[in-house]
Amino acid sequence: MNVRSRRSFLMALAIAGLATAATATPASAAKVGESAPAFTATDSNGKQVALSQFKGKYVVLEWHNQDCPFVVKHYGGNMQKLQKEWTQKQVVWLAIISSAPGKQGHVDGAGANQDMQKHGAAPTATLLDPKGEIGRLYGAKTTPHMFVIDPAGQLIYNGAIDDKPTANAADLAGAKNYVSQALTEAMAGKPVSQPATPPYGCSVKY
Amino acid sequence: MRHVLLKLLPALLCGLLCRPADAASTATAPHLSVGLIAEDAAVTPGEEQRLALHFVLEKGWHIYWINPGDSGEAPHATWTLPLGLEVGELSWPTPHRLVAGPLVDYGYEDEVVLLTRLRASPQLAGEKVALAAKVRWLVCSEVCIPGQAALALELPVNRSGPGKRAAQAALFATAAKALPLSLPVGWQLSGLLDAYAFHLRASTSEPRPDGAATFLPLEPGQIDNAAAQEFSASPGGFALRIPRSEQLLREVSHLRGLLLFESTAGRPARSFAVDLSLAAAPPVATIAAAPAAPPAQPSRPTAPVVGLPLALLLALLGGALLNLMPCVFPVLSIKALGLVALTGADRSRARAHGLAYSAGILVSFWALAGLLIALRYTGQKLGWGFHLQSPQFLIALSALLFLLGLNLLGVFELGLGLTQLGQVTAERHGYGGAFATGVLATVVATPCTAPFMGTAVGFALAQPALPALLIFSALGCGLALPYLLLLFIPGALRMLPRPGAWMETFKQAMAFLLFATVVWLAWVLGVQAGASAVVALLGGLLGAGVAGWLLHRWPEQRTAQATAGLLILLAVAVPIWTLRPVEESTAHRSQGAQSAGAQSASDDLAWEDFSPEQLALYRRAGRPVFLDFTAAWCVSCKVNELLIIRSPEVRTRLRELGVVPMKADWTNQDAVITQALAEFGRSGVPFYAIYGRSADAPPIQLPEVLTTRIVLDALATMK
Repeated sequence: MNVRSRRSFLMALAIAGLATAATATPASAAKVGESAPAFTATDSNGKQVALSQFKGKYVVLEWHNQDCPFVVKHYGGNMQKLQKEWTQKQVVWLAIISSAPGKQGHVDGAGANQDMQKHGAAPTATLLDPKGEIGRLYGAKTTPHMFVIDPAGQLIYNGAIDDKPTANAADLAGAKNYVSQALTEAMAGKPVSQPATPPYGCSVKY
Repeated sequence: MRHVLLKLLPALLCGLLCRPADAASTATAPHLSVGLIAEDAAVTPGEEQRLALHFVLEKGWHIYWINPGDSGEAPHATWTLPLGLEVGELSWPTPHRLVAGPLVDYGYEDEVVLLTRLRASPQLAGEKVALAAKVRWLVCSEVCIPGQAALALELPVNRSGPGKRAAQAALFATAAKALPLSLPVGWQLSGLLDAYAFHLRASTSEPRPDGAATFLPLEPGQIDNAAAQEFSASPGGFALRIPRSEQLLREVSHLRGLLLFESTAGRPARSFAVDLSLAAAPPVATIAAAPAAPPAQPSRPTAPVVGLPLALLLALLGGALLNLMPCVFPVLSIKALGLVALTGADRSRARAHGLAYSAGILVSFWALAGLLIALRYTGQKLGWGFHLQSPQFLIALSALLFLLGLNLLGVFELGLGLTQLGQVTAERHGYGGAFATGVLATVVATPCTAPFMGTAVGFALAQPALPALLIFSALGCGLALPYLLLLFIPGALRMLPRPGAWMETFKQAMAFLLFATVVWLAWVLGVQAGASAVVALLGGLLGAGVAGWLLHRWPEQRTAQATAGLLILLAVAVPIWTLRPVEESTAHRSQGAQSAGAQSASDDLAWEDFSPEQLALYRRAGRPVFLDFTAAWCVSCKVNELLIIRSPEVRTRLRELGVVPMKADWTNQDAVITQALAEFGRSGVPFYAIYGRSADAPPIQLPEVLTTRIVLDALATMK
């Protein structure tokens, strides 16, 4: 093809490509019953962690901000207890910090390790998401916001950690923990009775 | 003396130690102060009075409503009261929407008063009563700080007639005014919940406040707080579409909350408390779309169950008929023109070019169909013609057609095969041009829907990817067929007229047809994205015109060509970039208003906006409905509307029969309309359905190309 017709052809293709790219719309948030969106992140020790490497295990995602009063309520012992109980049952527990630099809760790797150590917390890994990419991918709204993924990679729970949406530690006693409920039911082969609940907490500081 | 002293002692001691009775008690905490205030200076047994929790917040900090929204926590009070005193629930004033990035909360800034009722039983004992309230809250700006205060009030008991008002009457009056009002008498509210949203409908027998309304829910986890709500007013009422929360998986029977009408000139914002039971989702929205036995598909009575072979045949026929539609005809005529001067020796070359043209058509059908299937797989509710719902695409297409028009007029030369009439056989490098012409033919063919095409496309998109692509290939083959027939059937070319000077005139006349198409696309863009988008487009076309002039004035110069190329890219990219933040809801509203305006100007039928639940209501009420699925970019739709639906006979008959005309405007992406089309087994427009009076009778479906006879016959036979 001669130079002129090739150029015009390529131009037509470029225009079509531009138009198609401009009409592409962003992916929607993680939906219960569908595949959990894949991601990779750097953890607090600098290692690359991918969701795909945990296929075959249950995974719990916990959105975290150490200064948020709701997180403080659960880190008075409740969250640590949950983490220990479930990691002992081979569940992978990932704490994810999506606070943007300069915003409340933002820490670097050392800071995240310090925070977890101070509270005696034992997640499998603490992932740093300062650009908020994973948070936005999952539609994480609050801290804490909990997600549970089954061994086949399906999202089976998305929502609050329990049914008492307050920042008062006195409300921990007698609260129904949705994460434990989802994991117990799924591990027994039963469908999750409450797969989605409105999450509560402070807003994620994107 | 000692007795007197002893009697005076308590009074003396009290004078030193007792605090005077206080009608208020305040506490200061980080970022706010909170006070407990009684309306009366005393408590009267058997009477009621109001108590106020008065929060004064530091600037930039807020507390939350009873439903805090996406994050936060509402304040609450725990009361300690003596026997005989009772306190009611807190009354919450109308909150503000607080936007925090992707989250939306509901709360109060600056100052808020939470009122509650204090009831004293007639048997209240004692001379004084002490009330205590432990108030907890979460006060936030960027970060959140929980807080609490213990407030106490000591009030005397007044047994001698009505109590004296304390000096806070103004505070209580203002606070009472900030509470939501009850729904005006005469307003009838109904609502239902479907797969995507809550739909609230109100009929108001008296004038409603001007301005749009939003719904603030009392319960968390029901609606998507951050999503835009679509408010549409109609004579006698209004409708509000409230997207549901993605976390809402269970059924909801009650919708409780506030309808907040925005403030307009001369009238402050008003809110009304709403509590309505939701109706079950209408039958239309729950019809299964999977092909099954007739009872499961009452909406498809007459059309036979389409199998793959039949769909392929329909697609082939539809593609061939597309050539006759106004969209494709100019392109085809110019291609055919190139064959007019063909001699026998060049025929094999011409056939090769024809195959390149067909390849262009097929590949673009695959690309379009593949893109559509891929987007639907990711959950997008799209149908055939989806690319025309994108203003960005319309801009690119308009620029392309404008440049081609200039090319046809002879402003500059390009190797796109449309203008090289003699060159269609000349060199090998015409193949690329022929291919590009095929791509162009497909792209401009999409606003037109030929007979049989609708069924074939609808069937295709309900299939898995491979059969769907096969059907689209058949459509492409059909589109290319007439041209190929001209080339390959011996003697066909003899039917074409003799070459002559008329060819140049014809070519230039076609240019004006292309310009006319650009005018129409500009109108569609205006409907979709507003007048400013049209201005952006016209500016882009101006740039493209300058590029054309550069190529005309300095035809062989490299720099001119490079500048022209850059100008064209900018001419397309800049309008597309300025269109980026197109808000779907405002575009929807402006488009609705515009098409409504256009309609009411020329016909007295009150076309209603399509909504599944309104359709269900009409069907339950036994009213016939004429459903018109259309779009501004759909040429076939507009032709049908202008010539047939708006014709006097059809209008009169619709009015006589009391048929409700309903328009589903698909100019912009609309998941509800896409879903409704899918339930009829369609994925494109135009589509027409007539529902009769009987709620059980299936609707009559009309073909893509209408005639007055078809419509009138259908209206006569509707049950």
